[in-house]
Amino acid sequence: MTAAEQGKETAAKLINDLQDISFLQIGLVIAGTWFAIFLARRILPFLAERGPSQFRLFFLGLEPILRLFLLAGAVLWIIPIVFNITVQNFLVIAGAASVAIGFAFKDYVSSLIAGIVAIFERPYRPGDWVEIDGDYGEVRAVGLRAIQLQTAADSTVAVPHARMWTENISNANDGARTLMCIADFYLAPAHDAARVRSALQDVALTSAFLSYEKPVLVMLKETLWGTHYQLKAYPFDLRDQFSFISDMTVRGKLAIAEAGAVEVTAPAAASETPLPKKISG
Amino acid sequence: MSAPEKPSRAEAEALCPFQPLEKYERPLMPAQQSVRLFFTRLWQMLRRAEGGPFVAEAQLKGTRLRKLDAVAAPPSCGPLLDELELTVADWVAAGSPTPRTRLFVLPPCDDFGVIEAWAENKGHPVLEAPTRDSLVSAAPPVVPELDAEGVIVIPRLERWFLRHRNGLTLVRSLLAAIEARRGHCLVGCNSWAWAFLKHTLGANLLMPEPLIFQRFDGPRLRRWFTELAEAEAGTAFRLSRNGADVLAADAKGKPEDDYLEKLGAQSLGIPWVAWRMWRASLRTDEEEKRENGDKKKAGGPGERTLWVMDAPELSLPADHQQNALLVLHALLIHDRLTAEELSQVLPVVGETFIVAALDAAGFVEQTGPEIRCRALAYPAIRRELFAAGFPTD
Repeated sequence: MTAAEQGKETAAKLINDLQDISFLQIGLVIAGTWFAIFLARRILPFLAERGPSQFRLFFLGLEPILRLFLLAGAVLWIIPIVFNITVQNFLVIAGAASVAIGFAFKDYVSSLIAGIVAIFERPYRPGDWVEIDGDYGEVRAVGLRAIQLQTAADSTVAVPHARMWTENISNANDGARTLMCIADFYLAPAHDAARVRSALQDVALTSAFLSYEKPVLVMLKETLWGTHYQLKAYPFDLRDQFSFISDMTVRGKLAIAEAGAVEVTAPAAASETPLPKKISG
Repeated sequence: MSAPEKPSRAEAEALCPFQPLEKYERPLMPAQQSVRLFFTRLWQMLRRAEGGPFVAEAQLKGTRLRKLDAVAAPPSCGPLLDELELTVADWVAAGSPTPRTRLFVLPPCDDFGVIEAWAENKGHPVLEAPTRDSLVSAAPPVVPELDAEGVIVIPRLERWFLRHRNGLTLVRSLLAAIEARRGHCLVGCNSWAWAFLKHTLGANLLMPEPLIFQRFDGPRLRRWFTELAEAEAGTAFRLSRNGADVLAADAKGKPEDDYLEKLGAQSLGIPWVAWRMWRASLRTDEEEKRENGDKKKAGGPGERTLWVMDAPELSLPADHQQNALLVLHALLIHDRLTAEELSQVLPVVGETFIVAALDAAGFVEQTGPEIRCRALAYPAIRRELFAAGFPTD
């Protein structure tokens, strides 16, 4: 056999001969990668919880990135051990993979790809507080296929990455250490609005959870059922958001009563109803 | 409180006038100590023992030295009274001062009261703060007219408010009165309260150039402690671990040991914190032998030796840390609070024994009904609050 023929035969061979494949090496690469990912999933959240709060989101966000690089490295290491990589073979493998994915694993692979896109586009990161299709919670883990949200009611919700293609993702902090918290108050319209507004402002300014770096805002608008006040402020640590809102609500109610205003109740659905347009003529 | 004597020429040359607050830089830890400290803190962070004492016991026992005041006498502020006078002398003498109001921002735990003492020594009228419970009453007190001649001193701005929804009214009125005053007004404020007032009331617009003392680093501490020790001649201060004379320096002025550099960094450059740490670290011969065994150290004939112990690293335990930090943060902002006032400014729900635990552990102390942070524990408190993301000074 001439050298040219030998080369042609080698190029046409898709998978290396079994005796040439080092299964031990493959096993070690897989075990090593698994162990490295296991360590990262244990150590980084541990450091995030125990270390200074300034680095918490950094440590949490590092885990999916590290995992992606470890997996990519493992795949790139194993492929040449198993396959005979040429351009021709690459096209064959890619074609076969496309057919398999198209028929059998479409949704799964869609989620995997969305997971990789999510690492770079960052619609959510571990430690972020997001709302996806009505579920609001902290991103506890970003897996290969899905993320895990932990809601305020301590439920864990798994959301596939593929939802990113079709759903709006609302991220409350987007990687920051704080997020806006809103305490809502509904008052009967007959009251001294300037006094109430000023009192509510002081309620937020004197909260123990307040971040000094962000502004405090008091917004109000008239609705059909009364005056809707929104007290908006930022806690210095986003994990305190529910305590912060509760604190503002408790003290806001006292401030409102002291200011001589009266709270009213309204059906939740009505709170989103816009005011009717004034009909002229 | 007696009037300080006029500083000698040599002393006057060593005095450092106050500087703008933004130029204040805390002393740095010596490199070797920094590395050691990094690993110590890393270990503490990973370990985080539960249920242990907040502060190492040795730090809390207080000194058992009988003649402590002879070698490290009060006041805890060192040369600050003279330095304050040096800073404001020209401003006080000016007929129409610019600016009309001078603000001095001082770190917390100043139990001596630098601004009050200066005002008293110079005979300037002091505007005393009302009681805290009156701040949130239905009829809060009225700010008196600030129309007196000369310098009016408001030594502790932090006593004019309570972090309560009704507790900012009086301080707003006070700031308005300061703004309206045509003559001199000297204001002192705790650095944590200043950070709060800057954000909540925009007080920095009224007093944009706060001043602070120059940091007390190794050389300044050496000069100060040497002066204090001169009252008890023949006393050497030797490090317990290696026998080095802490206050000694060679012909070029290079110290025998970097202990005071480390103390300056540990105390964040604050004189009253460094002074308390210095006093807490001193041991007599008998005490040193009892704690470390009978090891013979260097010491000349006739020399009376006081042994200097290394200050331990302090840290809060994991248990109830968030509530403990909320308490400590509130105390730093207000300088001191009663238990009732503390409950008014904290969002803690239900009964809590945090204050009792902090008191027993030495992070806070009670003077009558009032609770305040201990100066000795302040660096640890500040570090923990910073690490937990609290707004700091």
